[in-house]
Amino acid sequence: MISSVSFEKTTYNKLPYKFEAGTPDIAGVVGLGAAIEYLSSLGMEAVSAYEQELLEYATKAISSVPGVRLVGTARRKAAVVSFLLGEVHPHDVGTILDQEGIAVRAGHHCAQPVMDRFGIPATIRASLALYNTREEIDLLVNGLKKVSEVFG
Amino acid sequence: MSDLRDLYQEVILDHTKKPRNFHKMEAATNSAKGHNPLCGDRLIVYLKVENDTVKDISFEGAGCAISTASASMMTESLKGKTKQEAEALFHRFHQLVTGKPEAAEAGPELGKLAVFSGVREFPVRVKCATLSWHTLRAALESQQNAVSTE
Repeated sequence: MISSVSFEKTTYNKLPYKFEAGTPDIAGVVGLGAAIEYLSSLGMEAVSAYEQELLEYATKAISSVPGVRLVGTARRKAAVVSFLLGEVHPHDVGTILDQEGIAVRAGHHCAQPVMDRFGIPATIRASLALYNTREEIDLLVNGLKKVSEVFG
Repeated sequence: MSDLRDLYQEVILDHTKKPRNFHKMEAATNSAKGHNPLCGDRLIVYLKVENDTVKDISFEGAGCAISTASASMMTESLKGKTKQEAEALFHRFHQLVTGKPEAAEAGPELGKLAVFSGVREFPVRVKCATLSWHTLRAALESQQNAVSTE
């Protein structure tokens, strides 16, 4: 931000204002505030416990699908499940799940060294949060069975 | 589900599982690398060009079903074609998968390649289907830098 501008000279505002370019992300700040209020009202411990419960359920359900290989099985981890399904490329799995209304991330997740470590090109990754349900995990599992049908 | 069946047609799945002309070519006159860094697809297209004609073509690499099948079927459709015919086929194929209206009009016959028409319903997968074709073009022009369709 400037203090004054003329053709001859530009004077910047004093710190910290000189580093504030244009309008701050006011909507973003208000949104973040609302999100923090919402999560605090639920209690972060309760949110975490729910997500861990979903993770446990999802890990079991996804592992039960024939051909699934889990990648990343640390005892303590966030509610994400990375996996492979047989020889089907994760991007093909992603496209088919997308058609079933299920959003997953497919690819190397910008973590190519880890992919190399496991000797794989990519993974499918389901990220679970407080707004997900067990029913949705069942839908994911059904979607994976559909993938196996398509790829026979 | 019908869109999915259009995308993953039997012919495409067959080429994914058993890619044709899938090997390195020692006596290649031209070659080029293709790489889509966001999705990780990577391939090399090898050509043996004599008298402006593609005498032999092969590829190697790793990618999704669509990119592998596309590369495999491309090699089958290009043997014996002149550089000019290959270039024309590139454009025709590109129109097919991007769903341009003129795709239905004149141009070289796509033949079996027509099975890729389902890709147009999946815009994010167009880059998978076209990677091998852009790499082919780079090989014909002997470009040194890896090409990308992302």
